[in-house]
Amino acid sequence: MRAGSDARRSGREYSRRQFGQAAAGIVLFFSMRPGVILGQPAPARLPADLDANRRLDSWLRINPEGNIEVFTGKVELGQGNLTALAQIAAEELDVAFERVRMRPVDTTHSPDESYTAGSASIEATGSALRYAAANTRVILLETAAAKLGMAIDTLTVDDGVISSSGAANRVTYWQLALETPLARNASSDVPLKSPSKYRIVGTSAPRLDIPRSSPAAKPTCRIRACPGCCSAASYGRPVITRS
Amino acid sequence: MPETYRIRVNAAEHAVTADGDTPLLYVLRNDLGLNGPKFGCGLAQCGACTAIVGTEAIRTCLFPLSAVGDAPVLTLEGLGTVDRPHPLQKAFIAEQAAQCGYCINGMVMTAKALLDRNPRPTRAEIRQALAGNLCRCGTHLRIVRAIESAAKGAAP
Repeated sequence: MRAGSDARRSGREYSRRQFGQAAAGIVLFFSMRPGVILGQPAPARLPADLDANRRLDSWLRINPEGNIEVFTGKVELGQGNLTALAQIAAEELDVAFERVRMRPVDTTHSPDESYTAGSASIEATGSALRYAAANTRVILLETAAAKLGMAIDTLTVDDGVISSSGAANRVTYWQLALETPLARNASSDVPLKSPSKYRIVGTSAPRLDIPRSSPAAKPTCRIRACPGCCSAASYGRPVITRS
Repeated sequence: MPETYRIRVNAAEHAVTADGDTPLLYVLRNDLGLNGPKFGCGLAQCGACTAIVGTEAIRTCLFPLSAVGDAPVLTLEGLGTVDRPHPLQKAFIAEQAAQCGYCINGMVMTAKALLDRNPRPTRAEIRQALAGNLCRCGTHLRIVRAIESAAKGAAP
C-alpha cells in the first residue's frame, strides 16, 4: 500500500520484482516461526506429489541423445512454472538448463498432481522433482561407479559428464541412459544438493513458453460446454509469434 | 442473409460466406484459423482481438465483416513466425514481455500500427497508444520497454 502510494507520488515505477521483494520481506516477517529459525530436519516422507507418484520414470527420462525429459501434472498457463521446474531439474541433476525438455501435461503419461492452482507448482512439483532428480542422480552415479570401478563418493558431475578428479575415465548420463532403469520408486533418503551450490536455481531464465508455439498448434479443446462447441485454452498457444 | 465476401488477410485472398454483421474476429478465428487475435471482452474494451485493417488497429470483436471492404487485414500471424519474427516480436521476446500472454496480440498489433504512423514515439506516446489495451498480469513496463527497443531498432 505504502510502496504503491509513494510510487504514485514520486512518479517512480516499481517493477513486479521490486514490489515482490518488498512484499516478501513482510510475508517472511509474519511467517517466521521457531522451526524456520532453528532449521528443518530432512523430511522422513517424500514430498506429497512424489509420494503419490513414486515411480521415477513418471517424472524423468534420460535420453541417449543428450537430453532429459521431465513430466509434470501442472499446466503452463503463463505463470512460467515449466521454466522454473526445468531449472530445478537441471540444478539437481547437474546438467545444463538447455538439456531439459518439459513435456506438456497429458493424462496418458503425466504424474497425477491434481489441480494447477494456488501458486503450488513450485512448492509441490518443484519439491517432488527435486527429490526425483536427486534419486535419479544417485542411480546414475551408482551405475557409473560400477562401470568405472571407482567409489561413488569420488565422482562428480558436470553437465551430465561423470568423472573422478585425477582419473581419466569418464562416462556420461547419455551413455548410461539405456542401462539405467528408472522404473523404481523414489526414496526420501537421498542427498540433496545444497542451495549454496546452486548455479541455475535463483537465476532468471528466459521463459520457455514465450517465443514458441508448438508446430502442430491446433487449439486443444479442454472444456466442452456443448457438443461441438469449444471454449478453451490451447497448448502451445500463439502468444507473440506463430509458426 | 449470408453473403460471400472477398477479403485480403495477411496478403492472401479469402472468400468467406457469412452474414455481413459477423464480427471480423469470428471470421479470422473460426473460418481462417487465425488464433493470434483473442476473444477478450467482446465489447471492444480490452484490445485482445486487435488486428490491423488498412492502417488502423481495429477491435475485431465488434468490427463487421461487411466493413472490411478492400482494406488489407493484418493479423499477428502475418507479422512474423517463430523462425522469422518481426522486430516487434523479437523485442517482446527479448524483454520477456508476457505473463499469461492473452493481451499480447493486441499489444503487438497496436504497437505495430503506432510505429507505422510514428516510427519514433516518445514513451508518453507509447503509453497513450496502449492506454486502451488491458493487461491484468502486470507486464506493462516490459511491454513499453519492448516497443521502445523495437522503435530504436535495438532488438537483437
